[in-house]
Amino acid sequence: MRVPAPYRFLAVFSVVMAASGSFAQGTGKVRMKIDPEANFEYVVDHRFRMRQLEVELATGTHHFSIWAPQRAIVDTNVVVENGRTLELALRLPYAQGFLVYQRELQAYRSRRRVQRLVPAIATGGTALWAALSYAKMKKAHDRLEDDRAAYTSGGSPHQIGVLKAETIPQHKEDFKRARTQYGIAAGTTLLCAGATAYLFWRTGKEKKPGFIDTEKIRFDGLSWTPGPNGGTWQGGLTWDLTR
Amino acid sequence: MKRPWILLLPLIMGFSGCLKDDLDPATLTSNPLDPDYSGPALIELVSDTTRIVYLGGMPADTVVEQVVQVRTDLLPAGTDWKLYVTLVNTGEVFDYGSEIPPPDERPYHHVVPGTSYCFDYQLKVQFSLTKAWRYCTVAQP
Repeated sequence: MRVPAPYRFLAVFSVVMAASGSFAQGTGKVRMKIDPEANFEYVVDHRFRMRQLEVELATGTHHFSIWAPQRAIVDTNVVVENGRTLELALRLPYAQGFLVYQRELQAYRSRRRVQRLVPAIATGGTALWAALSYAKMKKAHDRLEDDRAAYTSGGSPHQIGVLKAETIPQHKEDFKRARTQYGIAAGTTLLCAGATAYLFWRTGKEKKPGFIDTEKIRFDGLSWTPGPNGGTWQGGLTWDLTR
Repeated sequence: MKRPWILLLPLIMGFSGCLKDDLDPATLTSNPLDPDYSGPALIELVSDTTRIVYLGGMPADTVVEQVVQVRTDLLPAGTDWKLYVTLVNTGEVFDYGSEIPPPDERPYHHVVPGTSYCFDYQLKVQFSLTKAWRYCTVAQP
C-alpha cells in the first residue's frame, strides 16, 4: 500500500527536520533493496514509519528498523551522505515464530496425511479386493446358472449324471469359497471404512496451527503514523488467553 | 464425507444378498434323460398279454408280451435313442434301435400261470441309459 503524497511529503519533511534540526544541513537518499520486495515496512530513527522504496534524509547516521510479514525485524544504522543515494540491500530473515509455525504446520499436515490418506488408501484397497471378490463370486454364481441351463438342455444321461455328481458340487464348492472370501473382503472394507470415517472425524476436530506474527506486534509498537493533524504513536499488548 | 461410507454398508449387503446358491442337484429331476427323472413316464405301457404260441396247430409255448410307447414329445428334438429292455425275471437284455420292435421279439417264454413277469424299459442315448420304467404282467392261465 502506498502512502498518499501529502503524508509522504509530511513524513519526509518531518524526518528531514527532525534529523537535521536545521535547514542548512544537506540531504541524501536511501534506496531500499529489501528481500522480500513487497510488503516490507520500516521505521526511521525509532519514529517514522514508512513503506516507500526511496527516502530522502538529512546527512548523518540514521537508524532503520525494517520488517515484513513473517520476517524478523532487522535494526541497522545507515550513514547518509550529502547529495548521494545510498542503496540499502538487505534480506530479512524469517521470524523464529514463523519458522516454528512452519514446522508445526508441516507436522500437522504430515500427521493429517497419515491419519487420513493411509486409511483412505487402505479402504480403497480393501474395496478393490471386495469388488474383485464380488466379481469372482458372481462368476461362480454364473457358472451355477450355466449348470442349471446345461441340466435342462442336457442331451445324454451320462452327461447329466456327471453334471449332477461332479460338476455342480464342484461349482457349488467354488461358489461357497468365493462367497466366504467376499464376506471377508466386504467385512474388512467396512472396518476400514469405519476406521477411516472415525479418523476423518477425529482429525477434523484437531485445530490447525495458527501463526501470530509477534514481530509485527513488536514492529507496530515502534511506529508512529503521521496524520493531517500531527501523528499518533501506536503500541500493542497481547495476552494469549488460550494458554 | 461420511455419507459415502454409510451408503457402502447397504450396498455391500445388497450385493452379497442377491447372489445365492439355490442349486441343489437333488432337486434337479425335470430332464427326462436324467436317471433321477421324476416327471411323467417317458415309456408308457400300452397293453400286456399272455399268449399261447401254436406250432403245427399244436400249442407249443405260452408267452407274456407287453406293448409300450416312448413319449418322444418329452425328449429334446432330434434326440437319437435306442430302446433297452431287460427281462427282469431272466436277466435277458434286448438292445433295439429307435424303432419300437414288435412285442413278440422280446417275450417271456414258457411262462407259469399266476407268476408275475417284469420288464425294465430304458432309453439308451449316447451310450448311456435313462431311468428304468418297470412294468409287470401276471401270466394268465
